[in-house]
Amino acid sequence: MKVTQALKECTVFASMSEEELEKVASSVLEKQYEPGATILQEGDSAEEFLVLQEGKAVVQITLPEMPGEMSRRVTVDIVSRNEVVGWSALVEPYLYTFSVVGLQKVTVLSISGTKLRWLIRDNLKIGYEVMCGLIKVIASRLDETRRVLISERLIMPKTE
Amino acid sequence: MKRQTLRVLLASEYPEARYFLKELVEDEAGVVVVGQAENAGKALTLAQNLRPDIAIIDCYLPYRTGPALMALSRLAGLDTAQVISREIPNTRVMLLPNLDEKVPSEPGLSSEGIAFFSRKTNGSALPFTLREIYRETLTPGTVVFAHVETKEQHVLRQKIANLSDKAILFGGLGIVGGLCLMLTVILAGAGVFLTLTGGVLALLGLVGHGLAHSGRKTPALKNREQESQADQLKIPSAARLGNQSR
Repeated sequence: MKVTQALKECTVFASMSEEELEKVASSVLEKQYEPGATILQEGDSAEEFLVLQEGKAVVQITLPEMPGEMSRRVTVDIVSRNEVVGWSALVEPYLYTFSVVGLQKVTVLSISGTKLRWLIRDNLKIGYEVMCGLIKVIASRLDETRRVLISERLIMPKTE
Repeated sequence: MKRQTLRVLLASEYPEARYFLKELVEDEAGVVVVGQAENAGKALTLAQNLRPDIAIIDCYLPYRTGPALMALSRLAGLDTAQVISREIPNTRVMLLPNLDEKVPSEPGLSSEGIAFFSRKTNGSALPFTLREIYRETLTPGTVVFAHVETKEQHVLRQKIANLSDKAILFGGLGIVGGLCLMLTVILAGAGVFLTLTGGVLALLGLVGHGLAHSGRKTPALKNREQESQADQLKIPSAARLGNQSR
């Protein structure tokens, strides 16, 4: 499938014109990951903004070590086709706040964070569209994290 | 020697999914389901108490099945799998990301004979048995990412793979045939060129030959030329004789 067509199907880029999509598409790379592979690592420098094309991946946060409990990861979202991960590439301090692990064989469109930021800076309309889409993504992830906190922190029994 | 019975723990929120998995798992000889959990908390407790050989976990597992009004997360599958594989190293842990898509909607429909576990490598699904997974040496914390496949789907995939193999074969033959044709055309072109060049050269040769013939002197003319040369030689010698007599 054409890259611009694939981007058009993603919420963040859905309202962009063909010309604007061409500009974004010029900095896109296609990447593949095996099941279980870490696609993005929490705390790493956020250099890529990813749009999933195939497969499923989980978004996880690391719970800090508590007395009598080891540090571990908690899933806050499961993402699939046309969903985005790596929004930290557009928001300061440009560090990933989540880890992303492939559940299946995953194909992503990787957009360079730096190039996307330049594009947004030079083209305010694109910037507005991207940020509107991004707010939806962040809001949904925040909601899912809230559910996890309710479920996990209050209910899940501690393991030895 | 008696084969060891494999003890399996199943974890999925939905009873029909657990039923489907139980049928699928116990279809393999020497495998028995020892526990079933509908949420992450129960799966962890059962895993710690029963110490199963294999734990099969649905990716969309809730932390706990709570009151309907409370919005609870149903994403605890991987977290539970990671905790079990890290804390109970002898238990092999399998996570199923696509179970929700495979469980038959009709209640009571058995998975026996129509479904199997597979792992996807390089685009192809490789079926495996639970005993094969159990024999694998896995480091603590490793989770096996597996899929539930149905037979029709597998057959369809095989057909697609066969078709693509045939397409590759015929495509290759087509390319070779095309190259041969191109080579023939090139050689034929070269042959035509050589023939034309030969013709042109032959024509030039004929023209040259014709010109050479038209420029060649006849014997009568040769004789006349020789005579005139001889006359020129005679005149100065007669004049020299005349000067001497004076």
